[in-house]
Amino acid sequence: MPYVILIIINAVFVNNFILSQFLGICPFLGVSKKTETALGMGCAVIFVMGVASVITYGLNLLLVEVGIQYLQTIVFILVIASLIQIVEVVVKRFSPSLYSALGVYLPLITTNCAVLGVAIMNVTSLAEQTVWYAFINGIASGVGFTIAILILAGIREKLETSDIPKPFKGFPITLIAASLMSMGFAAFSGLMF
Amino acid sequence: MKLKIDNESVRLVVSLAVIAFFAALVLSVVHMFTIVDEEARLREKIGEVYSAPLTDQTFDWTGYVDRPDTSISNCYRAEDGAYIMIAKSDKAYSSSGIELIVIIKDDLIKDVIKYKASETPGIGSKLLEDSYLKQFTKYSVDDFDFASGTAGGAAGIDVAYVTGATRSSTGVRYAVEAAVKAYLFLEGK
Amino acid sequence: MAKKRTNLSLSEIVAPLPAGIVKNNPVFRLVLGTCPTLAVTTSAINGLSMGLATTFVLIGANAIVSLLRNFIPQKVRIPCFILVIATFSTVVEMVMNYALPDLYETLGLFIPLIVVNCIVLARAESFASVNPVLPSMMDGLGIGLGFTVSLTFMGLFREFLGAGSVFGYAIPGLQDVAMTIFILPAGGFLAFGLLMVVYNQIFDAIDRKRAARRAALSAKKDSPEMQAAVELAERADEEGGVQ
Repeated sequence: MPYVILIIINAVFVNNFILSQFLGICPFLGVSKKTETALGMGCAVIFVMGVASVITYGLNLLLVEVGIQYLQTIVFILVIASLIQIVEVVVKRFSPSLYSALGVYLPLITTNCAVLGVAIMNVTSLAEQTVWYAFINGIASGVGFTIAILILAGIREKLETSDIPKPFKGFPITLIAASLMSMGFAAFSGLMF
Repeated sequence: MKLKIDNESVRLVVSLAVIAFFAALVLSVVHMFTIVDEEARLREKIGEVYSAPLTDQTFDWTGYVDRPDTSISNCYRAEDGAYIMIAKSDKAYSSSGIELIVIIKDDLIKDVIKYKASETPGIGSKLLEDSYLKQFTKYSVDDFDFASGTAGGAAGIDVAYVTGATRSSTGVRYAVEAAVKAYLFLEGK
Repeated sequence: MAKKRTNLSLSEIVAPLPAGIVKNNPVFRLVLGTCPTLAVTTSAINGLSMGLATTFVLIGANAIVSLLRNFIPQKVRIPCFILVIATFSTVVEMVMNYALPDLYETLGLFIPLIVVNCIVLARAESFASVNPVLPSMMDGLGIGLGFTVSLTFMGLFREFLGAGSVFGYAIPGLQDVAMTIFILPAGGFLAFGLLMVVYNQIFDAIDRKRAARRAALSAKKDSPEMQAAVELAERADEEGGVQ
């Protein structure tokens, strides 16, 4: 049980996917204009990460058994792409408003470094390799991602009404805000268990 | 919603399958030419840093318990009785962790060398230099006081952390201690 | 676009190349592929290697996608592109692990992550799937070179300011006053933001001057258009890089 808490705190704060590991920056910069879309995107990512972690972990065991582990990247990305297709169909069917709110961002989760990143990390670096820990790590990383995206969306909403010098408008000021966020989260790196 | 099995669906599946097949084919061919024998590379590296040849002794790890984020991935016994261990810790900058070669002989830490690690150049990379790692070689196994240790490692060891690389410094420390614990376990102490 | 054409002129084939470096710069203009940009630019060599690896994948994937562009059905084009890109990415991974193990170790997780690099998929989708093979390869090369140059430059910037070294060679005296923040993740964002501002300033100014001169040349003399164009050119010259 304590190890689970360790994984969660590690994934959400100490090694935050966006602010420490630089995974998932594209949606971080692209989707964070409004807090509602950021939250929706974050929830979708949490779900995909959790399910993908479990499926890819299982598939990796199979690949290792057969000895074709070099096909890992291809198999993982295909699994993720299919998963997102399924999520898209389900969301469209059960919640058309959410579907139209997320728009083009849902299929973009396929190219989200974070999902493939967590899948690969689960099979290479988790000390205790079990499906349960892989799942926890996936969900917790997604939560960390969502927190970072939400904070940035909040900041960006406020920036809309500020008087920013023209050269900095758009991406540069967002990046500088992200830099300050990253400095804040860097304080967590001293957390020791 | 009816499922239509018609020309178009067949074409979709076929094109996907064809590309997947060729992808697997290409990768299998390239893989045959680029197989890396990790064991051989490791032995070569050990040969570079330690002169005594390695025996084929295997070890019984039953009952061995360590931190969940460290492990001993390989262990060899050299002909002169030294234990050469690859200690791995997950506390590092990169997700693949830090792997160190720790050589312990006659209760003394003879050498600590970096095996695999990917640290930020300029910060964490200082941890992997010989000048830093050699600080551990002035200790013997008995200097490690695990009973009164803290989260930063066992008491009795005075090796300073590198500023800006707290997590990785801890990882290095844990890896060395893992090797020490394994040595004590294998020697039955 | 006609399927059969007579030979493309050399300029048509080579055209995408310089565009990829400046006009379509993937890092500072299109803002794609930001994950490796921030993560591997802790030193110039890392940036350079990552750029070259991505360039290889870009050229290869563009070539194959272009070859198969009439074979892949529209509905499954994205999974097919991803399959092709993943193949090249895995090839790079395998070759690097075999031939350049130290570099492979340093770049770590980000080599298999080339497959989800937005740049590769975006170029395959928007250029290679509708253009012949040779221009697609040139586009891959151009964008890849633009990516490499940007990454190397950013790596140089961060390494110089953050560790006081250049391409791994320490500069005496500078190491004591180095601002470590630039090598940390926070500095990655900061460097990216600052460099983007500089890039946009420089190239926007150049674009404006070029547009003004072009307008001046093409308008008739003494016409109202000519007057407006001359004014535009003068104003661009005055303002320089400041908007």
